[in-house]
Amino acid sequence: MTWRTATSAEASSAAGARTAPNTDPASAGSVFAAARDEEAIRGLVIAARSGDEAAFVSVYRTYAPDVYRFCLARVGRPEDAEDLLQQTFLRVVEALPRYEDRGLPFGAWLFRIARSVTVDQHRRRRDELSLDTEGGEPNGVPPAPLALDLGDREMLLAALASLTPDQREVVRLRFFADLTARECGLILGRDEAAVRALQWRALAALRRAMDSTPPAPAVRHVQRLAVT
Amino acid sequence: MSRWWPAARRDQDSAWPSQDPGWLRRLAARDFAPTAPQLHRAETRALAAFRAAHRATDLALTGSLATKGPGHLALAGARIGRSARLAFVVALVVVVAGAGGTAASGPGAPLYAMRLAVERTMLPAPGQPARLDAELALVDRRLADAAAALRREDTRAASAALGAVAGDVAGVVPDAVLHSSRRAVLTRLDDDAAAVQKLGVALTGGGAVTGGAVQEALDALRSAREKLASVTDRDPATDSPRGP
Repeated sequence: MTWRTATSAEASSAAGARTAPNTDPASAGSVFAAARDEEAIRGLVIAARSGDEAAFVSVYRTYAPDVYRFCLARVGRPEDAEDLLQQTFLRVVEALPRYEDRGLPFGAWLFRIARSVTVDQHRRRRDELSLDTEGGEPNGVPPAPLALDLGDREMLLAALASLTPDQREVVRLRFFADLTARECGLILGRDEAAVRALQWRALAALRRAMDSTPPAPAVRHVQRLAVT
Repeated sequence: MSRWWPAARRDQDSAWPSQDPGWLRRLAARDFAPTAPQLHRAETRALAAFRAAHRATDLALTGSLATKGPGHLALAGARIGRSARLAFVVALVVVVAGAGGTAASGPGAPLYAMRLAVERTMLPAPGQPARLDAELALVDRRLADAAAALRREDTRAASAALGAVAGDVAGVVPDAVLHSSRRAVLTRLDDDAAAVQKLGVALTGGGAVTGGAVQEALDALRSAREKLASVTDRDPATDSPRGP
């Protein structure tokens, strides 16, 4: 099946006017190209909640690439990000009947679920790792030396590792999940101005991290990526 | 480390990495994008879960199911629409009566569709025990209409009456799901299907029933039977020998 099939068009027409999402990964470079039409999304969500399959597919295709980017920015491994994307939408299916539009944009609701799914997975992994590493390095393998040929993705993840947790999260939500400052604020429990200030500090810290020698957290992150 | 954001990279993009987040967006779009197979796999799985979830709720649409979910919307709609429904019934009765009553609203007549709408609108509200009986009685009425039309050799009227069966049967399943005598309803649906089959044979002059109103009625009865049987098989204990 090629991406963006007729089903997408059917879904769009079934649900009324709607900005076509850019769901083609190959053309996602310009993105976050199509601004989300909140009204149309709301209509799709209501239709999906009452069992409209085409509307659900439309919602999925609108958000799935961003959910994947967000998850990948959190976990670093594409296979884990794919798994988290699946888990996120499975949980959306479960929770959709309970979704109520009370001024909370659907995107904020969805990424709350995505965050929760990644946090759960991180906890599970940490527990597993703590069992695996009891009495030594994982599987007895010492940390690998710093990789010399890491791609930009790994390098950016390493730089992100040097930020504070809040700064990291605002970068992920704003630039990987493509949420607005208001939506980020609803997720992080801050107002819009605070999100913008946090973002400003995060970008400045990211620039410093990239201009300087790699800070210790970044080195550890790169080592972990090299091992995994 | 030989490759910590080399200066050459910075020279390629004057805005990199600055407060202008364009570089970050470009990097996210280029190096963090999912592949089409990844998106497709996740979509397939999510869609399967979505279908499974809604198959379950489709069978539980009646009002007495006090669960959250899509069924709630149907219930809310039913409550809101009650007064509008009454006004609609009155208006239709006036129209049908004014247009010549039964003759003009018999099967195949111009006002037959209106008559069907009136009869369905006058059913007891969803969740009321009498509703299922009334719905099954409507199906019987269509079959009686079709049989009477065939006796008059009015095949057009017979087809119209059989064509209405599917619409009436569609309402039976949601009401029968919670009924204590689902097995009796299943038997009744089987009897109705046999009657439709016989009427179909008579309608086609002994030929095979393929397509048209008869097939539509048979398909609707078969589909309703399957849906109800799946619930009954899962929960046989609720069955009772008492018929509806």
